[in-house]
Amino acid sequence: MKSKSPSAGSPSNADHQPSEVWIVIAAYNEAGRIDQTLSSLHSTRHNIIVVDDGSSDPTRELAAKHPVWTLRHPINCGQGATLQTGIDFAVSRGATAIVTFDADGQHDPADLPAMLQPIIEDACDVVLGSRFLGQTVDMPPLRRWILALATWFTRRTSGLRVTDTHNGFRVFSRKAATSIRIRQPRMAHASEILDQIATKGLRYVERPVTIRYTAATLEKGQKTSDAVRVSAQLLAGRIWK
Amino acid sequence: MNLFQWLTVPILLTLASLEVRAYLKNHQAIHLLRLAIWLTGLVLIVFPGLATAVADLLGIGRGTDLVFYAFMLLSTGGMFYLYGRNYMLRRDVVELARRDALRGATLGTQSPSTEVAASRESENGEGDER
Repeated sequence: MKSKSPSAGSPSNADHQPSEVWIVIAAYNEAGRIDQTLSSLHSTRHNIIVVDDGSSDPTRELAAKHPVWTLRHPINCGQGATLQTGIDFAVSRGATAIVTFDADGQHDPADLPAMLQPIIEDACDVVLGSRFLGQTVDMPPLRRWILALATWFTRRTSGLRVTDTHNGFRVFSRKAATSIRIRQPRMAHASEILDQIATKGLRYVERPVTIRYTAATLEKGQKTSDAVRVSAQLLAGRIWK
Repeated sequence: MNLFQWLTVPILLTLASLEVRAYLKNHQAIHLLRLAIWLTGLVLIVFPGLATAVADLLGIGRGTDLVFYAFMLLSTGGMFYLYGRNYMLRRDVVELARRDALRGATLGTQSPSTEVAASRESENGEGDER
């Protein structure tokens, strides 16, 4: 396997295509699903970054068999920290559009062109995927109810007119990616991103996406009880800036 | 003075003098806070009736209750402080982990899309073949 090692933080924009798209995938113990997720993204022909968040399984090794960039945190830092690492890398490589995509196969690559279009047209800075504008497959009713509550809370606190929250399928323009700084290392990063979109006055739109739930993704994904933990993390983030 | 006072007063005096020395050295407010805690403890141990008098004044009743409430408040504050320190320390750890990850980025199996990135990199002389 050939591999290249970049110099850290070497932004070089002049020689990049105007619409260079980088897909950032945060992966933690995804050995069972990363292969399928990456295979499904091959046809997009975009640059892909897999950031292994200190997995104890061969997630990185499996990802490295694909034509993608792989990075690895030496320890488990959390999804928010992992996405920021991927975004930093993409920005340093001259990305003009950065997609965040879940490693567990919940997202549908077929939604990607419609997600990218507003960024390519410079119609907005951030595109947020919405499962409630699109569709969900096998979503538990309790999860739907909790997300509806979280969305209502987000609308009240951030002022954003969103229909979904904590959806990991997003696209950032380069401007947005350099403007937003994810400081919440764990689950609360999703709310933090929305807060920063509001406070920094970034232009955003929502696009319908499909989210597929399986027993495995429900087992590993956010639990209903995590709502309290996310609130505590957000509060801590506001106290200790 | 009773035995307990003989045992604790020298310890608290030593701690207080260490805080004074530390404050004179670096002028950090945390030393003044700790000094206040040690001196309060010292005064309450030397004059046990004082706690009861202050408790009466505050409507608590017993001096032991006053000390217990103060202990609870200080413990909560201490836990809050330690949580904050841990939170910020974690951020630093994440930053270190990120730097390490960015340094160790590798490109997997070659394909047309990633060859573009690789060729750009070699043109710029930014990367090393592993």
